[in-house]
This record gives sequence, C-alpha cells and structure tokens, in this order.
Amino acid sequence: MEYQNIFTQVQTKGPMEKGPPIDEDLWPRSTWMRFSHLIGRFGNAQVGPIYLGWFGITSAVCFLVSFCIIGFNMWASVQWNPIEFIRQLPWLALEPPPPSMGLSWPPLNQGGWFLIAGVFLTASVILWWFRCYYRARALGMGTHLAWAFASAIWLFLVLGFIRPVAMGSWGEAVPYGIFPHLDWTAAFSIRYGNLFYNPFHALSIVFLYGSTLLFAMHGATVLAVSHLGGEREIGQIVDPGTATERSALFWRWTMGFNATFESIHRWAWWFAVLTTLTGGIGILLTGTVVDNWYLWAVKHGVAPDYPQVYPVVPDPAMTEVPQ
Amino acid sequence: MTPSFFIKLFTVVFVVLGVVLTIDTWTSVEAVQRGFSGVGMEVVYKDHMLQEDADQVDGVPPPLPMASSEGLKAGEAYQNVQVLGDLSTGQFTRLMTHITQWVSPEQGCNYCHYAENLASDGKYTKVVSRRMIQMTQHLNENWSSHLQNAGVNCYTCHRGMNVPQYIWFEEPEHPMKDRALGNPGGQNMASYRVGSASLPSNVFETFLQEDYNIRVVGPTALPTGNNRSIKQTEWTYGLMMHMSNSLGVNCTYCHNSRSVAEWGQSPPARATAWYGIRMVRDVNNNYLDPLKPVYPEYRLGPTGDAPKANCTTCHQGVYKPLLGMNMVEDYPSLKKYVPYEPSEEAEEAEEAADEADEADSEEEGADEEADAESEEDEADDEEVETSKADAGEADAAQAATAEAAASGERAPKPSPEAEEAEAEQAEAEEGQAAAASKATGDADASETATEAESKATAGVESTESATEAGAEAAAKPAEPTESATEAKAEGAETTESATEAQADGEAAAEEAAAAPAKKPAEETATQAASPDTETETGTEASDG
Repeated sequence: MEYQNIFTQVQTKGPMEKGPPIDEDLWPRSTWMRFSHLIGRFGNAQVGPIYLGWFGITSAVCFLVSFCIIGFNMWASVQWNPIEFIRQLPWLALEPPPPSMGLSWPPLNQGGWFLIAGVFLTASVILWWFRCYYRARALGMGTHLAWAFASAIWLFLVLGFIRPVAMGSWGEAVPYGIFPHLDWTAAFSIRYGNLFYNPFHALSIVFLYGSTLLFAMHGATVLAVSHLGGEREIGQIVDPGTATERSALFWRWTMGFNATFESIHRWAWWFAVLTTLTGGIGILLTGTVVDNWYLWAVKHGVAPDYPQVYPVVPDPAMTEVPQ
Repeated sequence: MTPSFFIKLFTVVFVVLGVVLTIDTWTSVEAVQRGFSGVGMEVVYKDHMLQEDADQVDGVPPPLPMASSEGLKAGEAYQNVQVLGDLSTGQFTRLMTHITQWVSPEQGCNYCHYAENLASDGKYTKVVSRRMIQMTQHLNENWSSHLQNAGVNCYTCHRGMNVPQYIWFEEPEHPMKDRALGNPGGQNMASYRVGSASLPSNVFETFLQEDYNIRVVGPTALPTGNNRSIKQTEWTYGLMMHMSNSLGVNCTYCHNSRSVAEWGQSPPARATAWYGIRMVRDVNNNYLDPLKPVYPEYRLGPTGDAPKANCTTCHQGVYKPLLGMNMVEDYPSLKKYVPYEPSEEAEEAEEAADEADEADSEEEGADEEADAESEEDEADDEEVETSKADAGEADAAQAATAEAAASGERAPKPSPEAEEAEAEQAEAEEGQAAAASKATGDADASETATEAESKATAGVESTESATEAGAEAAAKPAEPTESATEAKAEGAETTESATEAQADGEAAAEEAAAAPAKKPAEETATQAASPDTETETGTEASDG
C-alpha cells in the first residue's frame, strides 16, 4: 500500500551529501546542512548546502525591492491599516498607469511605482534565469530547465513589456494583485472579442492541460510500478526491466500506444515549454494584429454558425429608436 | 495509524463532501436553457432567490376600488395641486391613499403634508413627492422601451419605505488618491457596486449619470482604430456586474457568451437593458440629482449629492421588478401627465393657486398647467432646476428647454395655449442647419418658447418643434445631419450638442416616424442624457 501514499515513504539518512566538487572559488557553497524529517515527507530530507552567487544575490535584492514596492502600495491603499490589509489583500493591487499616459513616465502614484516595480521584478527574473543556467552548467548538467524557464519568462515579458510597448501604452500591462490580475484577464478576453477564438490561446490551453494530464499519467505509472523498480527511471531507459514491460503494456492496452521511460520526459518538457511559448504568441498578437478574435474566427471559418433561437434584436444604438 | 487508514479516511471524506455538494447544487440551482442547445445559453435560477422574488410580489399592497372620474376636479377643489389637478377628488384621494401605503405607511399623510394646511409646500418631502410623481408619469409615458407594459409606481422602488432601500451616492475620492503611495486607481477594493470584484467601483457615476461609452469591443476582426483600453473594459465589466447583481441573472441572460458584443446573437433582453441604462441616466440627471437643493442635509451623500437610482433601485435582485407585475394599470393617473384645464369658474382659484405655488417653491412653479405667462415667468428663474423640471413636464412651453425632444414627443397632445402666431416658424425645415441657425438668430427665448409651444400645440411634427426650440438657443450652426435637434444646445460644445441633438432627434423620430439623424454609435444614445448640455441649455432658456 505504501506506493499509494501522498507522502514520501523512504528517507535515507547517512552522512550529509555535500555534492560533487566544482570550481567555486568566489562563492563557495555554504557548509550549513541539516536533515528535516518533515521536509523529508515531501521531498529530500536534506536541506543545504546553499549557494548564493552574484546572480542569486542580485536577483533576490531586485525581487525584494519590487515586492516591497507592491506591498507598501497595497498597504498604503488601505491607509496603513493592518487589519484591512489582510482582509482586503486579495483585492489590493499596484495598478499600471492610465492608458492616457501612453509610454511616457507617469507620476509615481499613477503608475510610476508600477513601472519601477516592473523593472526590478523583470531584472530579478532574468537574473534568476542566469543563475539557473550557470548553476546547471557548473554542475555539468544540461540546461533544459533554464530554457523551460525562459519560455515562461517570454510570456511574462510579453504581458508586461513587449505587448504594452507594441500597443503604445503601459496601461495595457497586467496589474500586480491577486483578484485584479484575474479581472484583467477577463477584461482582456472581453475587450478582444473572446480569447477562446485565439488559436494560440487554444494551443496554450492544450499544452497546459496536456501538461497536467501527462504529469498525472507519468506519476501514476511510475508509482504503480515502483515496487518493481519503476522509480529508477533512468536505468529503465537503457535497461528495461519488468516495470517497463508492465507499464508499457498497460498503456498499449488502455491507450493503444505508449511512451517510453525516456520519451515521456520529452513529452512533458515540450508540453510545459509550449504552454507559455504559444500563450505568449497569442497575447502578443492580440490587439496588435487582431482586434476581435470572434470576428477573426468567423472570417476564417473557425467559429461555426448555429441556429438563431431568439428573434434578432437590432442594436438600439444603430436603429436610433429613442426610448 | 497506518497510511492505509488515512487513505480510507480521505477517500470517505472526499466522497461524502462531493456527494453532498453535488446534491445541493442539483436541488438548489436550476439552469434553464434559453438558446440553441449545447452552447451554454442558459439562465441560472437559485431556489432561495426565487423565494425572495415571490416574497417581494406578496408584499405589494392591493389596489383600492377605482374612484369615479365624475365630480369636482382636484385642481378646483384643492389648493396648490400642480400635477394631479385633472383627477376627480375621488381619484385624487385614492391615489394619495396609495402613495401613503407605498411610501409612508407608518407616518401617514403627515410625512409630506402639514395636517393643518395640506396645500403647503413647506415640507421638503412634499416637493420631492411631486417631482417623483412627475418622474413616474414620465417613465410610464416615455420609457415603455424599458418598462414594457409593466410600468412603475412609487412602490416599485419604495416598497413601503420613505427612502428606497437601494440608492446610491457619489463615491468620495479615495483618501490616498493624491498621496505618494497607495493610489488604487479607482479600483482594487472590494466593492458591493461591482459584485465584490476588484473592478472599478465608480461605475454609477460613469455610466448611469455621466454618459461614457460603454462599448469596448472592436467591430472588425483586425484593428481598425478601436483604441479602447483594457482598463476601460474593466469599467464596462464593473457596470455589467452591477446589472447582473441587480437582476439576479448571469451574463447569458442578455449576452451570447461566444461574443458579448454581437447584437445579432444576443437574447432580446439585452435591448431592454440598453434602454434601461438610458432610462436610469435620464432619471438621475433630470429628476433625482436636480432635487439636491430641496433635500435637508441628512438626505445627501458624503459629497453632498442627492440620492440617485441604479438598476437595483427597482429590480432588487429580480430580473423584472416584482416579477413583471403590472404596477400602473390600476393607477391610470400615473400613466402620463394630463394638464388640468380649469373651467371658467375655477380659473380664478386656479390663478391664485399658481401664485401660491410660485411663492412657495420656484422649482415647482413650472409644473402648473402652463399658460404662456407662467412659463415666461418661470423662464426668468435662473435656477437650472427650474428649467430642467419644466422640461420633464408635458407643457409645450418646456420644449424650449434642453428636453425639447421630450416635448416633441408630447406634441400631438392638444394643449390649451395653442397660438398660431409662430406657426410659420414651425415650418422651418427639419434637418437643415440653415433653418436652424436663422431661427436662432431671430428668436429670443420667449419667442422660442412660444414657438415650441405653438408647434406642439398645433400638432406640428415633433421634429420640427424640437428643431426650433433648439434653434433659438443655438448660437452656432449645427452640423447638417443633426442640426434639427441639436440646434437647441446652444451653449453646449459641438460634440455634446451633436449628441444631444441626436437624442432629441431620436425622441422626435419616434413620434414623427421621420428621424433624419443617423448616428453611428451608442455614443449618441449614451450622451443623450449628458448633464452638462442639459444644464447649459436649461440655463439659457431661462435666462432668455
């Protein structure tokens, strides 16, 4: 039954694992390490050693700056009332400049803070990307993670920088807030005639939901054959054992087709990367190239016609019937 | 505790929770399909809301037996009857009794009247009530596009309370708006106004008082100049949330979810709602907001504005107020304004009443059965309210005010003051700017007023009368298309006047079935009720 549990069932404890030696003269990894049983329930029980590095430090500082700008603006908007800050937190936001200001630099309280926060947040994210890239290189790994992260950064930049510049208005950017960014999303779809008719949006959804599906299928498969050695996935790639045989046959029986212990990871990586890659394309085209996705879909025969059930109501503003 | 125990526990809890929630949803929510199958065009009803709707209907006071129209008229029998003078005393008393039930069941007559002098306008509530009766008549007569056949009476909003439960005041400025930190940009606070979303909350001011463009979606697949921003979309979205809440319906009650903008695929309710927005704007700008000077301070909002209406004021969570119950068939005097025409003997008393009126309250003076003199007197009043108030009236004289259109609508009704003198002016061609401007040049305010009157009286096409009325005021030549109606908005800026004119044009068109103006957009409609323009026009008219 153990493989059915949601918590990690095996915790190995021995001497601390310091990791392989690499060239790290300037920023040596910390010597601080410990075991945590609780953390071991969810992941690896060992915490540390920690590595900061230039990219890590600068990224963290930039993030902190933007986090504080956003947080203090939110807090100020409830007049520094701590209870209201908690109570209204999901509604609060740092709002981009009004569209009337275009791409000019607005006053601080009319979007200036938003732009500053955006600059620091963007710097933080990009610095963190470099950290990902160079840490992987330093450890002699591939850089798959950095490139997948880059795909997400692409969407982030499209939303907050590239598209607003293309549209000529910082006001097009997404507000920093929990509900406000969701309202922005809904308004974005309404404004551009229903984003569901945007094919890149559709692709992005396919890859997003596909990612979760693949993740569930893969996780379930590996867990289901873990007592047969299935969690030793890399070994199973080149030396298939009975775990491979059984899970492969299972999918051929149920789905008619199966990935391998190698290819499933390529599937998952590409699905994840393509989610934000196609999503970013879809956002970038919206407003710049296409103004009304529904009408675009009608024009290109994508949106089907279906029978009109209601009597057709003419637009009162067009017919000019007064009252 | 073995892991398998937890697994079983989790499973049981989740299954039970799932079953309970599913059954609860099934039994308490009903989705009724209203469009083509399988496209999500359905309206969602919730049990508890339906019950509340039914309760609202149960609370409506039953109508009293109809009173005879025979006998002495109220205008003769009583002093200072400015709006309901044409009713018989029996009908008058019946309506007063009803109004008491609808608005002040606890305080009774004395909520508006001094027991020792029922005619006195000394209580502000009486002045407000008179205006509200005029508003009710105006709504029932001119806004069937939104009210359909149901009509409204006092109870539609008041529900037995002195002040309707659902009113709104202007939002005070956010305290952090001009500080260095924390300007929320008019949104991002949980606001009841927009369904507790973080959407912009001043949607009433923006769309139900001002007339900002509600439409945001572009009319073409590719960009062709529609530069509406996402923020503007959020404002529109906020208004829609208000409407959704007010009516207790979801989006697909009015919109096709595949394209909220397409009229061709929208349920017909959307057009009704479109008129509703204009109706509320009309009411707020021409009836409710101008009452500000009448109210005592404690009735005003945080910024000192008068209480105003939105969709909830009448709908109160129901897709049709009181489930569409007809609120006016039993109260014919609320259907429209019928001027009291005094018999010879009564005339004297009448005049006395007029004078008393004017002395009492300038604003209301206009409401009396307008003879030319009294109108001119009114015109002298500098108060914008006066002219606005007049405008709402059926009197032909009021054609001169910003609401010439409204007057135009009423034009076919015979009016006692028909004077043929201006008949020739009535002939001015509608739709021609030249004519309009000439008229402008010639006419002084009083003339115009008279003209308008006479035309209306004479049954000239409403378009014309509207034109002229405007013409008098119009200092600048109007654009060719819109000239007819627009002319009147002299003081107004070109754009505004244009729009207004259209509004007028629309109104007139309805009556005359000959509307020349073709305006592309909703902007026309939106701006029809532009408060600025009205104020200006009104002022001028009165100045003249």
